[in-house]
Amino acid sequence: MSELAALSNSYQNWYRFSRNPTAVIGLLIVVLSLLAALLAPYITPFPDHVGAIVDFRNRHQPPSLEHWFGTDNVGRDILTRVIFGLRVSLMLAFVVLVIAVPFGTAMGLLAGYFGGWTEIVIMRLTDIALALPPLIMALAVAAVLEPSLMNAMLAIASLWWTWHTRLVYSMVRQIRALEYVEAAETLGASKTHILFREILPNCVSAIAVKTSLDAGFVILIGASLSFLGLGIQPPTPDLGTMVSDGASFLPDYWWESLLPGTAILFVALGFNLLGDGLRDLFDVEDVR
Amino acid sequence: MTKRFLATTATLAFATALMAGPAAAQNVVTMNTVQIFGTIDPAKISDYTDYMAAVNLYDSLVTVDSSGNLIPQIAESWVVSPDATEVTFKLRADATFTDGTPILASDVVYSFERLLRINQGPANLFAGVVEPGAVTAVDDTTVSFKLSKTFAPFMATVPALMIVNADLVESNKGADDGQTWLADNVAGSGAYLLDSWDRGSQMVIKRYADYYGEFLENPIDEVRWIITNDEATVKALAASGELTMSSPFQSPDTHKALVDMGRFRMESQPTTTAFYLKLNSKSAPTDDIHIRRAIAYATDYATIREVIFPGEPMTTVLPAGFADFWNADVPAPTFDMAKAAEEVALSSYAGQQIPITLSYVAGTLFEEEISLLMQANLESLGFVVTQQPEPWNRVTEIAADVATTPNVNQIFFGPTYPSPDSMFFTQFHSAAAGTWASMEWLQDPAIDALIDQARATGDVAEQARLYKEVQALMAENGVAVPLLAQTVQHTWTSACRASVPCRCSPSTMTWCVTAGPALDPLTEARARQGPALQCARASGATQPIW
Repeated sequence: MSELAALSNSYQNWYRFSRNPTAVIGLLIVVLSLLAALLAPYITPFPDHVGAIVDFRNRHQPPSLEHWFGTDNVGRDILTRVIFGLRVSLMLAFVVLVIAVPFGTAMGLLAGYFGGWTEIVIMRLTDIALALPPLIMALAVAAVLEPSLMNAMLAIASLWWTWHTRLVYSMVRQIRALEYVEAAETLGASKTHILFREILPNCVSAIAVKTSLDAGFVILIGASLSFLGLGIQPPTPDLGTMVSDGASFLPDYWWESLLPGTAILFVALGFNLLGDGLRDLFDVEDVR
Repeated sequence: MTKRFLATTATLAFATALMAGPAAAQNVVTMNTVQIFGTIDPAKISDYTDYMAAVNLYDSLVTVDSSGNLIPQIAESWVVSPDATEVTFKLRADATFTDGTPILASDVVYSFERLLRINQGPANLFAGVVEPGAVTAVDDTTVSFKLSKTFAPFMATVPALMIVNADLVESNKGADDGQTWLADNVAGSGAYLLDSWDRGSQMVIKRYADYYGEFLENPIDEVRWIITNDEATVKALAASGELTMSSPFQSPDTHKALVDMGRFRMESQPTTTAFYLKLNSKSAPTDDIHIRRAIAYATDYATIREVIFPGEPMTTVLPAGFADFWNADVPAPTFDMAKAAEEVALSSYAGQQIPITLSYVAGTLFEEEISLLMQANLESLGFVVTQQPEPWNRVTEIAADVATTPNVNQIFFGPTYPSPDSMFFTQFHSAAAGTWASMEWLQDPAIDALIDQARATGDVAEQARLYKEVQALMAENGVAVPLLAQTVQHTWTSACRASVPCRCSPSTMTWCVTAGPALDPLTEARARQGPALQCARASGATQPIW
């Protein structure tokens, strides 16, 4: 009976989701990007153009049947490099979120449930962190430590968790006053049980929406950082660096900057549409 | 802000269009520079934009003509004592500052003492050569420099000493020797006056009609420098008609795009600025001479020169522009992958994967291209390449320690004064170790001895013999792979070209805009004193070559 209910529930969800065209487009874009990044060596026309290859006779070739996105300043196929560049972008989003989301959620749970000094300390910390623009923080950290994209992204992760903390905190504040939580407390359930079995599951949909929206933003920030010169070591392709390198050839060789830029837009847009779709689906308010 | 910028741009474009008309008697040149003007205080100037402004606002005792010869400026003549330790300059009696007061010997003494006191900018050219108090005013128009030792290139350094108006600086001295005041004001005798200066965006200078020196026919009346290093912006400015002249430091693609617009023509000038791969001779694997030779063989010189960065072939560590000192017997390096593989096999690292780091200035596209080209060739020989792009200010840091100096470094070096000594002492003498110009960590006593001998002798033939020997030794040890001698490309509108007579020389390292006598030396000043000093201080945002 309960299995059937669960099934019909998820079917209902899927039905509602699939009625929302933007959400479906978002999902498609995200799945497509993930697949492209995963299968990059098999689907790209010139997989060796990711490594140490130069072909100066073919530099600055405009888009053609052979090179759909044209070639760059050392004659490498831009389509190939864009698809491989997705790997870096998605990896960055993954790194930041895999750190920020669980940590931020845990902090939010603690602050919201225990209140008192725990709440004051955690929430004031988030206030401080939220006052720092992530891009500036990333540049500062990169300047102090080794200037690498990974350090910059870790700096961003160190700020990003606060958004999740605030979100979860506000939800926990509401949920902990609900009767089923009181009931569990009355029954003598442990705090761990209440936090992770009673409260957390009711925050999951909001966290999912927020995470999906975040992925888009993190990809944009990662691209901005590599545009500003904190890119990954060449010759590994990286979308932000490609835009930045290509910009010096504007407007003549527009494809070198514009097409990688479009790829960034595409992925970030995909995650945002998906996030918006999920928000409509779960009917979550106040995420962002 | 944006709106105002647009409005300004539009006004400028309009103004330029008006001035370009036949009715306009004004000769206005608008060009872009790739970096800001840091300072116009002649005791602090260090980089190419600083010098470019300063040589137009201030005069020196002597200056350099377009062939690299010293010519009189404030001084009308000079006498060098037989033992070459005292130089006496006779000043022009009619030379005046731009406030109308005459230039006296005491102004020269004051300018020199102030330069040494502040001890920045060109001061290091005189350090250990002319001590404080060694410059004296014999009478109002005679000034004497006593050298503490024989220093063959001394005369070549004199144009770097720009003369300030002592009375004017003294009356605005403040607590810092007039540094604050001279940062924004001019107390000189140059052919141009500072008209406006917005530090982040532009500087305008105007011709000083009562200049004591002579102007060429049809001189430039006004120079506007627009500060931007962005290739797309330069192209946009050119397309809008605002730009009459590009900086020489645009990419070959930008020069080409400008020429394609039809109104611009490009001129190439060979220079004596050398571009090297400097190999750290003290760290593995480039401590092995065979690895160094393999790298030299694995370098595709023709592609670098012809496709990536314009330049003339360079066969020894000295550019051929130093004709009298250049060793023609040193064979030119060649691109030969088979020989490179043979050299790797001869090395102590044969038969294994050889890790190697290639460093270049981050954000410099052509250096990245060269580095990728090197990587492709080296990896086919069994090297495992790590690319190490570093911002320019980091390069100067990592060059300070042999352990942090990467294996292969792309470095530009141009003479800072018109003497081969500048090329050899500053790069290959042990005294230079730990600077960005000397990332080879050569520290070879034999080469030090040869350079020291050349510095101590006044005999040019003997100097040439010694320097040729150094070049042969450098070719032998292979620590510096000469890639090319930079060719400076410079684009300007045809109209501007036609109306502005230009004298250029093969020995100068950059373009010349000549009209007034003061605009001419800016070329020279750059060739002589600018680039290397500037390289040391250029921010990461700009390239070390300029």
